[in-house]
Amino acid sequence: MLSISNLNKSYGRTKVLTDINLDLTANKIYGLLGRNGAGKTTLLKLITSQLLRNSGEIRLDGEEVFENSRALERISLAKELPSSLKEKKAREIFALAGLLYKDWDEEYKDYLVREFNLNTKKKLSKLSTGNQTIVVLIMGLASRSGLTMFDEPTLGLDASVRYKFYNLLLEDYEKHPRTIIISTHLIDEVANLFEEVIILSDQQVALREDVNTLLEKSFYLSGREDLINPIIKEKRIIHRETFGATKIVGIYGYLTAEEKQYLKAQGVELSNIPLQKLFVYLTEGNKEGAI
Amino acid sequence: MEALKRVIRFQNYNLVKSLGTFWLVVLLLNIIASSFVAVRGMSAQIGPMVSDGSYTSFTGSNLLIIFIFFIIYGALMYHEDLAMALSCGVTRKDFYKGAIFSNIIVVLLLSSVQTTLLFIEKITARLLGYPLLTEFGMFNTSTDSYFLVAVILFVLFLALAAITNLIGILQFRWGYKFWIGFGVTLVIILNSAAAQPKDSSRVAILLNYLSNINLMLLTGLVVALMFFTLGYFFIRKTGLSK
Repeated sequence: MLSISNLNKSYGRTKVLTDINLDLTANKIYGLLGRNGAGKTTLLKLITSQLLRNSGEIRLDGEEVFENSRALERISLAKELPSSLKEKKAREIFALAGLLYKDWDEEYKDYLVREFNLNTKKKLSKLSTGNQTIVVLIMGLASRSGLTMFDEPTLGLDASVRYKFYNLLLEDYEKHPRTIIISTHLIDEVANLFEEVIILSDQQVALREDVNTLLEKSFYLSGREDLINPIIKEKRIIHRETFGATKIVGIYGYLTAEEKQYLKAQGVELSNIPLQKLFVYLTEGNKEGAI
Repeated sequence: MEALKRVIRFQNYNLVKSLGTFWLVVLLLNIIASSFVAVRGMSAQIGPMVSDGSYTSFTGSNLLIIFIFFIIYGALMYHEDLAMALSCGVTRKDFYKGAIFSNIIVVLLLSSVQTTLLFIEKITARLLGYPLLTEFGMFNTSTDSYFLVAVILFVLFLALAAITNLIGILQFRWGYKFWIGFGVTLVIILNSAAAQPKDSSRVAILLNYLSNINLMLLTGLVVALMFFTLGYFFIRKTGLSK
């Protein structure tokens, strides 16, 4: 569906993205992860042509997206609205979005406004940060774009509203499948939504993996050092900590059935590393195992 | 084509409301100013008007207000509309085509309403008894036809719209830095113009130019075309930074 090849972007002399290559398939939910300044927002803005790239190609179903209305009208990016729109009322912003988005669903927008209990008569600047985010989320969901991207969709939202959004997103995704990219820092909360994760680090795509696979090949081993060491010596260690005689080691890689059996027999605790922790370990610069 | 239609609808979403409000305020100013003259005589001149000492026009002063309107219109077109449009998957090319179309619609509406007001004032001035200023350099409402005045104003406003459109783009692209550059350039130009020796032949050339309607209209159209074209070169390389 979306194909990115050799994409480069720099701001002045500062390189933000270097040789990005990605192929995303239709009707999947992707998680775009990366530390602050990793270039996630830049990548999303490049996909929607809001920013100009230095080189490379971005194609949607084979068509170059830049200055191509046929491609761009099928993409939406739900992100913080430009500051110039802060004096507009929420309902006015929805009306304008309805004019611009080809597949805008007015009924669904009304439904979402009710669900989120949003006061659309207020100006954006008078809404709380959370409610401003809700405006953006409604725009993204009601756009019904074939490729819908959310950049930090939970900014300022309390836990209940965040879970409401995740549920609404899934509910709508089941009824109207589309490709969704979510860029977020609250990884564990949305880990269940993701089918694949893309991790940006050091200006590049450092990792792209199916979420289940990723979780299946990352483990915490907790137990006596002398019992753990024979297993981990050939593994990629991404985390180490020690509590007295107990050692906790995080590894990234598969364990064979024999290795698992050995660890169980030795009383070494084995558990999967949560996605958020895994992301932290994999992207911690200068640390062993980091990508 | 569908995408362009959507952009045009988006750009003109509030057009009726904003133009309606604009003319309501302008008309009120015109009415209030002329009412003072009607009640208190020519000595009580209050509000916007143009006068050469002997003759006065209230609706003539609208030209300056329209000039300010265009500056704001050009700035908002890019500051608000472009920012939102780019966020919602509109191409720069479609946005710009739509912007030119919207500018022409606005110019058409402003020039026809302003021409009508200038000609209505001929009647109100007679009724209220004040000497009306009819000579505006480029046209004269007592000797030129309604149609000719409308065409002149259309071309004048179109050139103005093209210039303010470019200003709007440059301001969107460079923000406050543009205004610093603009201010410095303006000061340099004005200073160098002031340093030039007074030359009466230049005034004569200008007067001669103003009397040649065809040349003036052609210049206006060339300026409009030039500035609209120039605007596209800037906008096609503009990104949305915030």
